[in-house]
Amino acid sequence: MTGHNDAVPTGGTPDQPDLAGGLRTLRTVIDSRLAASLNSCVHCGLCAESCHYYLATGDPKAQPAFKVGLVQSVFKRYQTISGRLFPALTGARDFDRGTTDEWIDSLFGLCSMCSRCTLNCTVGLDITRIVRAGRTTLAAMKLVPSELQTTVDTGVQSGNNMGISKQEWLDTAEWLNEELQQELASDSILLPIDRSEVNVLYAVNPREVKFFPMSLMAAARIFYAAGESWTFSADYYDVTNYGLFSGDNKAAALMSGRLQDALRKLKCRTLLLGECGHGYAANRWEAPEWFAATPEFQITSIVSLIADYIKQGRIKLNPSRNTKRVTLHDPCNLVRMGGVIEDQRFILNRAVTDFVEMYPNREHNFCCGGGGGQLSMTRFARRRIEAGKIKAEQIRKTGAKVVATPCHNCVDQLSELNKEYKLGVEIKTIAEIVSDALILT
Amino acid sequence: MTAASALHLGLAVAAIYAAVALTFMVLRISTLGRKSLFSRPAGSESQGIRYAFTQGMMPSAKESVRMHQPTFIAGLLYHTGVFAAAFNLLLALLHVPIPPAMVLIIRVVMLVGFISGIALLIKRLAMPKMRIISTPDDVIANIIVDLFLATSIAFTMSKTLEPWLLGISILLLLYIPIGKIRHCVFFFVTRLNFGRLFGRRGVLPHAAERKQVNVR
Ligand code: SF4
Ligand code: SF4
Repeated sequence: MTGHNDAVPTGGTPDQPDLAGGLRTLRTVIDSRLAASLNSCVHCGLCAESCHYYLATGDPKAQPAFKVGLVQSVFKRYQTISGRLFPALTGARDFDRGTTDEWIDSLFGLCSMCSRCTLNCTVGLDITRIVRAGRTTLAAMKLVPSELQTTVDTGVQSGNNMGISKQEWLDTAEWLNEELQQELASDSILLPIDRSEVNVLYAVNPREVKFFPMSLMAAARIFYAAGESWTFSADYYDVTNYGLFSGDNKAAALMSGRLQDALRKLKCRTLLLGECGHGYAANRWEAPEWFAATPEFQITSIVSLIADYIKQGRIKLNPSRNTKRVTLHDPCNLVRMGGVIEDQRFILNRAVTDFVEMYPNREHNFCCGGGGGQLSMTRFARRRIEAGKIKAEQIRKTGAKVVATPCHNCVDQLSELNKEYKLGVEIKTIAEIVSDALILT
Repeated sequence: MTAASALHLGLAVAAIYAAVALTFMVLRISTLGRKSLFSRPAGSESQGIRYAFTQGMMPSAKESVRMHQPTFIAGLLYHTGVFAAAFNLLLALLHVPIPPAMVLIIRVVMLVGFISGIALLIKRLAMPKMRIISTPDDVIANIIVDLFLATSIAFTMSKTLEPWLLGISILLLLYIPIGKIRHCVFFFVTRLNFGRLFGRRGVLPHAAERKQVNVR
């Protein structure tokens, strides 16, 4: 997701999309890495079983190579000489309404952008970037599924993807602060807002504010125990970035840019990303490319910070407070595409008494099915739940009673899978588990 | 000009054309987009690249390969056969004498490659899952390479078949830049990018080197 990949503004509407504008965008988003990938697929089909959609349904159109082929055929038609001269031979295809309909159904509706196929491709194609190039093209033509587009628009307009007003946020923070002060018998501000010149600016998933304030308290408790100097921003605290999934780089850059600006305004040293897989990938790995600038501050995940606290002796844990068997779900964008692989294991091995891996794990782990904007695209909900069957089976085989995962979107999807597949597990974030084990002196 | 020298000239022209066309394609795509990356690396690109071309090519590194071992082995043998045929052609063009035992080895390697190629073609045509991702190019490229292997095998048995071998070789060289066989160069570019991506992000090779945690 790097390079000159901005959507070229088009003049069409969803009913009458500007196909020529879409093609201009596709041309713009295809950089040398992507062009090499699109010239490399040998249609061997070996990637099929890497994809949870294909594994769960057996639908040949769910295999990654088919999704690659959708974009590749248009790339060939307009950007290769042989595709222009011999379209039938090379499988090159015109870009028309039929094509865009197929792209929407497949690139949005049958892919959670988990990159498991990228890791398993015999050649090494960056399949997720190919899917995203298609999504960016559709975004330029205003063809993003409306539910996902609404999530992006809400984030752009209100500063967070749930449309939480500033007052509601400040009230929630104040209430949680009071609760914590009581619990910890402290007069200090334990959930600080807009404190300047502190080490950490913490960004979270707004669903924590709306539905799971206990997870904000868990993090605040850990910071308190570690003696961290930290703050939230009153204005911009949303770690999520649905522009990553809609393919709209302008919106994505705007959202990540707000977090960076909030950090600069408050003169913090570290942008701390809450438990959110795609939020990590967007802000840690993609934002510097969107801005073509290396940030002057540190960007890290709360998972890595907690691991550091433990290593440095800044927090102490009592694992006997978490005695149920715990397994770990690796969020794709934090682990496979993020590189945060061992920290969560280091933590769980010290925070619980019975930690078991699911198989496969780490960068080979299966997607839960909630990524790629799938949770917001209700029209594809049935497919999402069906594809999640693979994850449900992985969990069931561990015999665990608790599934830990450092991503709130994964928590949502896993909770739905828990109900659908009757897994009988609790789903928790890493901070929640650590908070339960925290020894507060 | 004799027919034989015309074929030799044709082969030289086709080889130059293929090389120029492939070079042009690689240079053309290398101009697209921005080159440098701005995110702070968490790992090493060079280690990632090294991994991509070494352990990362092994079946142990890829579930997809472990699940499709017959196809993987057939692909490996197919490519080995093609390299042997290219070597065989080169030796013939340079009039390098080959010891009979060596001829036999090359012939067997090419024959196994040929059988593998046919098997892969049958798989592509027979399985709905494969048909849906296939284009005419996938079939034609396979047939041309199979013909190249077949004529190469025949040539090791009778030198009188040299015109056939040269003719098919010209066809193959002319086809390379048009269709999927162009992956003979793009494979390396893509593999390099794969190594850079996962190396930079600190995902590979570290994870893969962790003692077999993912293999049961
Ligand atoms: S990125 Fe994930 S969901 Fe999308 S095609 Fe690849 S394996 Fe399937
Ligand atoms: S494994 Fe890679 S090269 Fe083979 S079909 Fe899938 S994407 Fe194409």
